[in-house]
Amino acid sequence: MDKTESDLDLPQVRTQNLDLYYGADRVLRSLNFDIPRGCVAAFIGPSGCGKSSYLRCLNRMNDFISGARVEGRVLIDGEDIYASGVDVIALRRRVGMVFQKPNPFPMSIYENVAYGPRLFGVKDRETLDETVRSSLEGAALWNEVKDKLNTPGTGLSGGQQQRLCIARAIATEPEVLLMDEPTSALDPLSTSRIEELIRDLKSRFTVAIVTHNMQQAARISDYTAFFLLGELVEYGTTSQIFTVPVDKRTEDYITGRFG
Amino acid sequence: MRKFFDKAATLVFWGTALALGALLAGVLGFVANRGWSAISWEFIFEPPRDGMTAGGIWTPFVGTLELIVVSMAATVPVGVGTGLYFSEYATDSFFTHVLRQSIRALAGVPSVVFGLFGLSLFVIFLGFGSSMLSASLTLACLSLPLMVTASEQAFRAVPQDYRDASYALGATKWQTIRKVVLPSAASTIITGVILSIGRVAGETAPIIFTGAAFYTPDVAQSLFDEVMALPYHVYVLSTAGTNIEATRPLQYGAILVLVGLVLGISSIGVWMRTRLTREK
Amino acid sequence: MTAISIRKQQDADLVEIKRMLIRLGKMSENAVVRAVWALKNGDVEAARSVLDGDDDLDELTERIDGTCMSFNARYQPLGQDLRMIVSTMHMAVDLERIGDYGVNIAKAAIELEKKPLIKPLIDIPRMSAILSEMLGKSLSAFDVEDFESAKIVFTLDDQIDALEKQVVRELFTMVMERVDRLEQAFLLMGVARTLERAGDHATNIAERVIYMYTGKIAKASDYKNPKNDD
Repeated sequence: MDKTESDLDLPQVRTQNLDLYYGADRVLRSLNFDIPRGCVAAFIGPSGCGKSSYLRCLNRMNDFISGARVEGRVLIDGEDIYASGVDVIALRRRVGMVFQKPNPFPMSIYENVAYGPRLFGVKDRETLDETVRSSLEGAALWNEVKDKLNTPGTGLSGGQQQRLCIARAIATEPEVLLMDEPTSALDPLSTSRIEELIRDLKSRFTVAIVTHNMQQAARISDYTAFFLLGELVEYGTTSQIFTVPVDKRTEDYITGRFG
Repeated sequence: MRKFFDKAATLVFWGTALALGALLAGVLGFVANRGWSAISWEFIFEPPRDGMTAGGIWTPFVGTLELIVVSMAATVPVGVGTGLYFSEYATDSFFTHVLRQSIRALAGVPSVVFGLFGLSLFVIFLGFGSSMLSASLTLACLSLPLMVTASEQAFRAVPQDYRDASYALGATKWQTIRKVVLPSAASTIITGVILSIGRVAGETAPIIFTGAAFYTPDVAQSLFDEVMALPYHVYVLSTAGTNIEATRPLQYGAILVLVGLVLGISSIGVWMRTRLTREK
Repeated sequence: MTAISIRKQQDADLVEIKRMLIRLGKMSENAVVRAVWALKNGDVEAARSVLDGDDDLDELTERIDGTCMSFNARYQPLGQDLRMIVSTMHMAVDLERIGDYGVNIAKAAIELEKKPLIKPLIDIPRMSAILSEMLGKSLSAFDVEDFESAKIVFTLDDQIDALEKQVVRELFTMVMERVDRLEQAFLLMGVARTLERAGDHATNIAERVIYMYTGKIAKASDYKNPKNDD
């Protein structure tokens, strides 16, 4: 798809009047906000406030939940991903995802990273080798694993596994990278590695990250959204949200007065 | 007091485990003790002679192997496929509930009923006659519930995380099943196959009516030949043989070979399973 | 559950920091007021006690600093907590400076010792009274989260500025009349100037209090009477 200048100026992810229902439950309530290109947007809020559900709207992973229904629009690069006739498979190639628990496939490191490209029919060994190398480099894991690409991915440490999952996600060259509490299962050192990595990644991808750790959101994100009971209470630049939040509920949440 | 109960529980469970081990060792020891004298290369590689009072067990030995291979060829694809359907495709509806319950119930049906079912379906209705094919398919039916349940459990045990990761990378459902779910479940499915083989190899009742021969001089050459099988052979020798007492060593020898065969197949399965697990 | 109990300790720590800052405020206010009183009454003893008290003042300032630092390290405060800690650190610096001004004035008082004053001090004590009110208003605004009373401080600062100009003008004419008054006049001008600066620091504190509680950056000039600006 050709992108014109004006396309590039538009926010990459635009959410317009988005409602999400699980059966009769309204999980997300009329969300409206934009995530600019090449930024890290963090989603904070208490458990069950809908931030993960929102993330899963962006690559339509909610489609797997029976009874899930979406109203409103999500535009990624100007294209409504909920319009009829949208190729969900193609969408998920453009929107990569990293999960809470490191979940490498029970395959070799190489096969884990090559999984996505192979799905799209890349068979040429040289192309695959190159993709695997550049993705692992992009995930800051290459130096640690270049001599053992054929060993199982599950044999790595937790932090390495998560970086492997990041490498796997960026191997399909997505435009947007979704991260659902990517460091909640990791030790502090691995966590700062991943955080460093996220800061690097935003030059190539727009990153949307759910986190329970407010300091983490403050450290790595450019924009922060505070969710409460399925509503977007406040959205703004990270420094504004964490120093002078406008809404009393945001203030109470970030200072730990409830949660 | 609490400590006492803790100790007692430990003792009881050790005891049961020990009793089981002793039972197994006892049975093996008993069979080996009685059958060992009959074992020789000739015993295995020669067909029965002289009205089955002498010679070896080559024909029923090969027959049992053939029955195992053919019945597994039928039961594994169907069983795994059904397991896959239940775990990946079926929604929670009344229909699938009934289906699942029926399969569970099937597992509890006596094997002789399967024999009669096989007789009427495969031998008479489908016209396969009394043949290796009919017998194998009957055995396949018998082991199918086990296979279905085992593979369904195996698929369910594959972490949802793997599926999510695969879908998130843009995989279709079938790609996800083929490249992630099936390989991850393989080792558990192999366990199911081993159990099925053990069951199939030892059954007599289902094959009496469907394809087991009292005696054939030659190894079965085609699917439509009748076939001798080790368990039935032992049954015949010990109940309807021309000289029951004289053939005792033969009977125990045949049982020993049967046990060895099942254990051998199981250990191959275990070896395959550990290799698969190690590769991950 | 844990979140609630953590907040409890955190709130207690914040209260402690607040209490220390208010005490520092009282100490620096005292320093200035007592120094001016010593100057007016030629009481060298009182002036000396201001000099002696400065160590305590510095020590308390350092303690506030240290407590704020460890609060940051411990809780990584966000939102209002963050604004409160950062503002407190700034305000402590302002208050410590006001205390130093008290010391400067006390030194002037000692220098004058028992020399007769060239004129009875009226406006300088008045400036000190206004400063004392400014500090009182700022700190009570800080204490009870009443940022309306902090805004009054801005108009008081105008009054102090006006008084300073008046004192300087008056002393200037006195020097014109008799040149031998020059030395004392210089000293008193310095005192007036010092009090005016202390007023600026008190204004800073009021601005901080407003920012701390509202998140809005307040500028004294937004509240000042425009005709007093030149």
